[in-house]
Amino acid sequence: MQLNINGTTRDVDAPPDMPLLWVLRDLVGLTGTKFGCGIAQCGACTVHLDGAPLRSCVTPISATAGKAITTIEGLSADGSHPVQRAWTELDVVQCGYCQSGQIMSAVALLAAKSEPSDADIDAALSGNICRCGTYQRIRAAVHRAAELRQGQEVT
Amino acid sequence: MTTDAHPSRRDFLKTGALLGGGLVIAFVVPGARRFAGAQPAIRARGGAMFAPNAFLRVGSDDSVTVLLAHSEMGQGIWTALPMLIAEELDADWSKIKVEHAPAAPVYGSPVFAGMQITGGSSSTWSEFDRYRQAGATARTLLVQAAAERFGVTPAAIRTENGAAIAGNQSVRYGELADAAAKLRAPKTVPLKDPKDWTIIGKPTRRLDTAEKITGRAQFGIDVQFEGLLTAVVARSPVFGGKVKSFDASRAMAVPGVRKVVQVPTGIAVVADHFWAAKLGRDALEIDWDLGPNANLESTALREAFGRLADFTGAAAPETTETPPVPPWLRDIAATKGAAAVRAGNVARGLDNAAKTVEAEYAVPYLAHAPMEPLNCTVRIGRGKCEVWAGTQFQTLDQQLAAGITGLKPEQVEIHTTFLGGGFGRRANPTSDFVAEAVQVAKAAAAPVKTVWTREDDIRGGYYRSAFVHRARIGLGADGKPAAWQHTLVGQSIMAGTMMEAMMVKDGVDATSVEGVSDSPYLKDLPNHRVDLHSPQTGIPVLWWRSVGHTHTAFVMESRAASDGGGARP
Repeated sequence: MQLNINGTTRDVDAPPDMPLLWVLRDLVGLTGTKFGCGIAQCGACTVHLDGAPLRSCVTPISATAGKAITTIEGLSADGSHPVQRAWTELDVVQCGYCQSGQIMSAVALLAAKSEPSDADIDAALSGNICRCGTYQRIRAAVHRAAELRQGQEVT
Repeated sequence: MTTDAHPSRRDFLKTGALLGGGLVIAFVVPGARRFAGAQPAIRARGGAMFAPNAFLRVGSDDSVTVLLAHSEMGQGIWTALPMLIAEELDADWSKIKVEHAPAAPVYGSPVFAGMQITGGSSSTWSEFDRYRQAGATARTLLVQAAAERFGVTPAAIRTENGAAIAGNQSVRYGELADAAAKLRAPKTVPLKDPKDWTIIGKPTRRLDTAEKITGRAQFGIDVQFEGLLTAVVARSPVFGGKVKSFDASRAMAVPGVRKVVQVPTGIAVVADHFWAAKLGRDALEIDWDLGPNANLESTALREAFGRLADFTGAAAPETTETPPVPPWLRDIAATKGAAAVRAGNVARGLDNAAKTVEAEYAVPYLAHAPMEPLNCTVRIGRGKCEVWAGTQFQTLDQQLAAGITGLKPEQVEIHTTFLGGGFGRRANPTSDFVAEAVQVAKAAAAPVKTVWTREDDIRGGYYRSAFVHRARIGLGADGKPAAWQHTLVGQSIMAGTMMEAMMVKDGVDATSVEGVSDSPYLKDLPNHRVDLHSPQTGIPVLWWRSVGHTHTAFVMESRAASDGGGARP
């Protein structure tokens, strides 16, 4: 089966009902996307399918055929995506395990709404659990990323 | 937090080895082996290198690599411990690299009896002197090397930003690494006056961010190498249960499943990848001997704990159960109480109160549930066992892996990865998730990563114990507490462990009552008492971040307990 992952077409030998998460992690070797719960309740496995956020742990690869899959590794080559820059500026991460998913959800939110309110952020990221409790910095960093996206280097 | 009733954070830290919570006390064993031991051989990675001690090395490329004796699990020591070294070394902060140290005696904790462990909120304060000393020692040698190069006395050298300077001459640390490596390190060196600190105490961005926002950071679950298989283990649905028999034929029929092996904790399905292993595990047919806890259930437990809370002092309550009472419940019901604190005469104090309120709090068993489910990768080779894990307890992991494989501890290499959260779960008296993974790799005769599902993690035990608190509080005419009788019921995390002798005194596990027995709300009341019942249930319990305070802070800071308002009359 062929998958389009981060702009590259990959042939994978996997049953059509195998979750995308495990294809990415164990067959393709992209381990930035995380396993947290396996039942779409924690958000650690969030990737994009044609730009929309998706829980890869419950998505069979058959549902991704012909669509563009983007993982944390595909966001930028060097951590320079505005959301990643904002995450760096605000020192968001702690243990870091949930942050790939948090960032992918934030990127999708900003693509849909360039100047999200606190309520927009809370709603869009409510499915992403952080066990360290970095939520306040995440919210601040999403606002900062919105500024960076628009080239308003406000400090 | 400056009144007498509330010791300041700083006072608390100064005496942390005695007061820093249960874990710290637990491991301060008088006369125990300190962090003695030989420094492991540190291999140079490209070019010359200067490794004045086990905690850092200076490369000819000017890099300063700091080796962490503790595990980064979100608390920030990946940055804080390097700050200690960089401060005394006058290092160029942009050249700092960080690695988890291997398992070796030299990395034993200064406050945990020489064990390499991360816990008790101790990493930074317990290493404050040792890491600064390591940096200062390195600086002394680099200064000496620079002095010889420039033909001046060491006193004529100053250091800043990774360079040694004398007058208008300057040399980078990397250029001095070779020469410094040939010098003999002094035993101790003076440390900076805190007023001269330029790094410690200054806001500093985390050094692990770049890896963690790009997906490059390696957690235990991300370990991959050629030939590595993945296992998912079927464990008893009841604590203490054992496999009677099993049929692996349906599991073996799942594409990608390679082996099904029995280990002491259950049946492991070993496959090419997690998904096949998980499907295979789901397809296993196992007949379990559920053992003595077969009928253990939460509602009856809660009720039994509540009945114990009615009793103060050492008297064992009469069981009021109508037969047949399951053995586990009978044992709980017969649990004797123990006095944690006695002051004055609480019965008289309550009698004399203007008003008496009673409050009961019940908190459940609690899984740590770190975001990264438990996992551990093991490769057993000739005369060597390698373990990759996000672990908080390298010393025990190493000892247990050695025992299982028949090797010596020094033949077991522990590769500590980032931890996707720990909260105490990844340090426990049996190193359960590491020991099991070693058993799986041994039984499978292959390198295996054993991965727990989230359901496995939640069901897997080592919980913060359920607790019931019952307090009778006598209020004075001013409405403030005047007498306080408090009974706690919950399992002891120290009973049955090597720390029991130290931590359980006269039937009271200090970690069960911390936050109540030493509460500032109680200490000035002339009449108060705290009692504890520690029933044993067969449910594995463990410290859970902040230990006893997870429940006692909730209870003591709740309005009902602190002033009686809203409490059940």
